[in-house]
Amino acid sequence: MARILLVEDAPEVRESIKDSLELAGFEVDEAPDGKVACELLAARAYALMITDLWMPNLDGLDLLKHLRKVNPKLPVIAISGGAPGRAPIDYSVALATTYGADTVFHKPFDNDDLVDAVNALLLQYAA
Amino acid sequence: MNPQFPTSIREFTRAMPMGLAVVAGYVAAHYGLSLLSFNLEIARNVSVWFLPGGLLFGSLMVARGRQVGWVMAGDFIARMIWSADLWAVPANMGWLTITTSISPIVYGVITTTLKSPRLGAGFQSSTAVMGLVIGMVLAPAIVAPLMCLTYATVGLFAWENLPTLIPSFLIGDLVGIGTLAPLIMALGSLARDRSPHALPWKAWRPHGSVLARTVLLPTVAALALYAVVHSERPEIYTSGKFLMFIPLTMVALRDGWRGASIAIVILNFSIVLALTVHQVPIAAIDIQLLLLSYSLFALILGVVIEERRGAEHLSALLSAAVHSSPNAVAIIDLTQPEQRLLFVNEALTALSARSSGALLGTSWRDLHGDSLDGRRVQDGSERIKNRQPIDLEVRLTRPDGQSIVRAKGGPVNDQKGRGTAYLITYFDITAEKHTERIEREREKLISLGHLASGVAHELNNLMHPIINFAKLAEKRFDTDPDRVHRYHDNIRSLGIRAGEIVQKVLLFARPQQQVRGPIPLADAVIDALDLIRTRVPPTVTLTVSVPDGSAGLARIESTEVTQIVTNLVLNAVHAVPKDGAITIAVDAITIEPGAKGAAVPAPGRYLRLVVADTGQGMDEETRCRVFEPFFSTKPIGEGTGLGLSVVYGIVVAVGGAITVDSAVGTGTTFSVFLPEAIDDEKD
Repeated sequence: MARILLVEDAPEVRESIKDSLELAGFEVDEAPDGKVACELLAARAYALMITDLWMPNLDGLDLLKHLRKVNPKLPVIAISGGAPGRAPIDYSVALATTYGADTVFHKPFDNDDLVDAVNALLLQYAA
Repeated sequence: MNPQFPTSIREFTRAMPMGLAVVAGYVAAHYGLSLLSFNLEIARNVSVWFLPGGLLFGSLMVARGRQVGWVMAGDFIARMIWSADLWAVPANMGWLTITTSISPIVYGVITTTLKSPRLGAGFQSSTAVMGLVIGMVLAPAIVAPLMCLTYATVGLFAWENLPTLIPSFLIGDLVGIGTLAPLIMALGSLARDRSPHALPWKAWRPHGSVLARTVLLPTVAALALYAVVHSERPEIYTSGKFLMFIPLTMVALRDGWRGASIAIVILNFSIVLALTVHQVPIAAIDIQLLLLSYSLFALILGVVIEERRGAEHLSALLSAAVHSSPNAVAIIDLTQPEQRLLFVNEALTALSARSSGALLGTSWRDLHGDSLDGRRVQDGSERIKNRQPIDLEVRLTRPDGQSIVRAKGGPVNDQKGRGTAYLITYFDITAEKHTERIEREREKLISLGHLASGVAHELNNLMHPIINFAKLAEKRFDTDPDRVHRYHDNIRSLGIRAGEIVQKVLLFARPQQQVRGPIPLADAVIDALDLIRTRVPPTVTLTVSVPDGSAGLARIESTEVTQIVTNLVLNAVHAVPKDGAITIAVDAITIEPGAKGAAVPAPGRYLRLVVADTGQGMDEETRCRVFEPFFSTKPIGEGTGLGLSVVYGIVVAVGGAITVDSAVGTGTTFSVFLPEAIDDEKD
């Protein structure tokens, strides 16, 4: 049973994704921000991480940077809702892939597509 | 200027060539003049013989620094030569030495004193010339008697002649000095005059008409006198000589004391020549007095005229400068209550698109007559009446529209300190205001840009769960009905939230030029408070200080007031601890010109709404970002971060300002300034 770390600050978004992942048979740990995510990463082993990019208290990009120091081999899917304030979407995508996200999903998306991507990545990394 | 004597051998040798040149030149001039005056029989009687005195005096006044020493040395040497040559009395050399040295020393002291900075006299200034006229009288008055006494002592003439000789020497010396010294000083000053009141060299440089006046006139006059004398009609001569004042007056009036100096010399010399040629038996003292009176009269008149002319010149310059100033200038008469315009310059007539004829005599307030700034103009008028400075932004009305100007003014105080006039300078800031407005729009667009991406982000976060909950509800339909119910509830509330966000966006992005009816602010605030009182926890102390009746009218919608009050109060509620306090107050305030502080609104009259809390306060960084859309310090899920940006948007749209005062630990105070609507514009 693969365990996935879901990092997302909007509670409803988090809930819907978690439910979709659980329906697909995964175990899901939630974190509302990057700080909690780091703590969880340190405590348990995960097969994959899904993270939003713009959050308070250590946003997604910082989280990615941190992750790449701590656990470079963990597959990551980034999800983005557009950036409040300054950065255009392309910018965040470019940054995300530079910092090691394997793919980026733009909200709103169908959670089933996310699940497919998760499966594909896990397969890829297992090989 | 005191003579500077060389302080070292090297300085002395370096100055030698120049000095020797000065000495040589001086000796030659002195000798030449003495020869001239001595060989003219009448000249000796008339005592134009004392021309060398004029040469000495004039040269000392012109000389600077070391040159004074050289001039005195030259004079001493020249007198020695002349005396030795003339009297050929070697036995009296000792006495002669003494007598010869009296003049240069006395003159040297007097001219040095006259030129000293403490007396305020460089001879360039025509005021100094007046001082010199006195000096010219003083010096011979000292020298002449001394010379007579010493000559008598050495037996050069008898003691009993002294009573007649002393006046003769004195007046002769005066004539000599009065004729020649001003000329030398005039020429010297022309070379280096820097007085602001002197006529510029260019204006005076002898060109045709000046030469005609200064040379020909006196010559003609002298010839006329000669003719009169030649007619052997003494009675004509008696009164005719006074006609000579006419050409002198003309020259002095036209060309000041410098022209008069040339004219004096020419006239006096011409007269002496005429009289010599004709061998006229006129008492020497009579002619001496005549020549002396010509000299003094022309000099004094010339100086007075030049001072006058200088002042007029300056005055004309000032007037032209104000007239041609690029800033519009108005001078107001304070002796009458209407505050009428005494003077308007070209820039003001251009700015107001009215002629000076139409403006002068009317009150300055008419310039702002139909503008919306009645109250400001009123305040300005009060301040002007009290002779206080003003600095206000007002509209200036033109026949074809309006300009926005900044009026800065202050009282014009005369020497005694009391002002009978007031000066206002108008700076046209229409373009700047326009740019400001465009800047505000641009900033708004930028924040709209932020807003757009913020809205996108928020809506994406709402749409994603709506879409996916709908799908999940279907999947969970059979297995988990409670969850399905919850999902459906969520979908509904998420949809509603999306709608609210759209509402707030529309509020923020409202266009600026909407016309709003003025409303009593106090009442609107009270109404708003009634709506949200229930959202304030009972443990929090709420103090409301809003005067009833009207504290004034503001151009704002009551719904907007509700928005502002609601958001500010809720913000405060979030910030205060359980036992905290929130204060809400409304008052009226006038912002003075020159008031300092960040984001303080432009000077004028405002209604102020203050919402203060005793909460945790904000640090500098937070305070700067507090009005940013979606910037929020609240935990996730509470609030959209749009509340304060909505307040900001409304305040800006109604032309007001909002300031935040906060420090960590001491709480926060928001002050909203809304421009007061003037009563007479109630619609």
